[in-house]
Amino acid sequence: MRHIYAYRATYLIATLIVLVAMLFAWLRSQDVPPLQQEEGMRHDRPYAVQVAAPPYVASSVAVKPSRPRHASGPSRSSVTT
Amino acid sequence: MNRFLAGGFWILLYLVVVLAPMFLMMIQPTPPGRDFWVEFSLALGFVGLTQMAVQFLLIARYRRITAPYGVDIILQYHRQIAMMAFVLILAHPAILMIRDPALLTLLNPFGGTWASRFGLGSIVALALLIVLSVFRQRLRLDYERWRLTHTLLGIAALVFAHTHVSLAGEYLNTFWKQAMWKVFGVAMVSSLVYLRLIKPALQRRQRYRVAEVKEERGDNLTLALEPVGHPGLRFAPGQFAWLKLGATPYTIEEHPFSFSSSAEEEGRVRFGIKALGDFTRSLKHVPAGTDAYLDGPHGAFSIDLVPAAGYVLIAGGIGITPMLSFIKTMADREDVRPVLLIYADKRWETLAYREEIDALTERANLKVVHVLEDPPEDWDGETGFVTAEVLARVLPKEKITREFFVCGPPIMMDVVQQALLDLDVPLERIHTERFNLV
Repeated sequence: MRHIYAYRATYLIATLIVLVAMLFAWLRSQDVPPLQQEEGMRHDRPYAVQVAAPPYVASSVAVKPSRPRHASGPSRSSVTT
Repeated sequence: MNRFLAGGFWILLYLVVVLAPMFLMMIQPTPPGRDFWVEFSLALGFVGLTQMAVQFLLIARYRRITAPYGVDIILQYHRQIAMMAFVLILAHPAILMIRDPALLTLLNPFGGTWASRFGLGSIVALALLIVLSVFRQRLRLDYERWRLTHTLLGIAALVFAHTHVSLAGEYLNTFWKQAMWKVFGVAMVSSLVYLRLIKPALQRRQRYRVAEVKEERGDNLTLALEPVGHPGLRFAPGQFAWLKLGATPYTIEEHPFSFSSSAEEEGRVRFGIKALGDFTRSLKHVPAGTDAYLDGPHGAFSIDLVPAAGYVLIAGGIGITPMLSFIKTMADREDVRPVLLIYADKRWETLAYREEIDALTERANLKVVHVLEDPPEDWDGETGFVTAEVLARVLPKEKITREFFVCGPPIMMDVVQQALLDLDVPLERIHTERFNLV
């Protein structure tokens, strides 16, 4: 009996967690600034290069601008830092 | 606290612990929001990670947490939710890559970023951990080696995932958010310190000594332990404990066994054990006086937790052990509620504890029905397996007032449970003990 109830509880918890994750995503997606909507997917890449720390990033964890190794050459990849 | 209230409280706390970090990430300053699928993939990554971290808490056998459900249920949940966490974690990069195929380059450890490399490392460690757990027996990986690998891969997966989140830095954009995640991860992993260092240190003060190893019928034995310098533990009939044998409680080798003795007996405890693996086969050679340590009692498979007008106990093979504890305890308590024991095994000669059970019929309101798979020629009792037909013949008319306890091989328990349901026994009255830990 306990095992069957535990199976049901597991599925219930799993469903709840996914639903809450969807709620989080929906709440966050309501916060899309107009500029980003216009620029398309470029800013949507979570691992894309940040050449300058945006104003909301605290200085202690800001990503430093990377120095181009080949100023005139093509970039190696658009998604690498 | 009421068992059901306590159970509800821990589930609620679990949900808060798993989900709260995600919402703390929404405290300002936050990065600009992006489209639903990007944010959804990040959310799945976060909850997958927190679930992975909470796994360490689940396996630490905190009695306060496990008591309302039984540790076997917690371990079942640990297995199932681990699969789910893995799916969520896999969905995180998968959604991003489906949405933007250019991100597929991150799968190449030489072509990605450090953030993606640690993310990839975490997924590989998790995948390996799951494969080794699911196919342990097929891979012939012994329990102790599996357990060590399982722990190390779990820690590696968690550390890699945390490093990935820190390096990606999307939401961990302030010192306190970074610190919160690190404290959360360390707090969860420190459960291992409790399980592997603090608990054994406490067990040192609760040492036992092997008093007797008695061989029983059918490759079974009874291991009796007596406490050294302390009164011994109190348990409810049907519970079990993890047993460690030898000079130190810090050994990684420990195995769960059900108590077969009466819960009313003070001091000495007994376990009924079947020789199924290397450890259990070696037990008959353990000399009296050997040091032993117990982690327990654990489990919620007990008549003490389910009051009823009477009980039906259905045991297969060594599944008789907790039933013996039930009956002996009732006899010691002079409990006159009726008990029907249906005890199935292969042969009459291998039926363990049958003389002891016969003697108990004198002291308790006990009726015994043996079901033999391979009966002797002059056998006039039940034969074959415990099926709905057998149960229909032997169950008392007032079965609706009884609670049913079933313990034995997993297939037998499945068959018996279905048979009882077919005979209109409500699911709430059927209690099973499943020891299949991995």
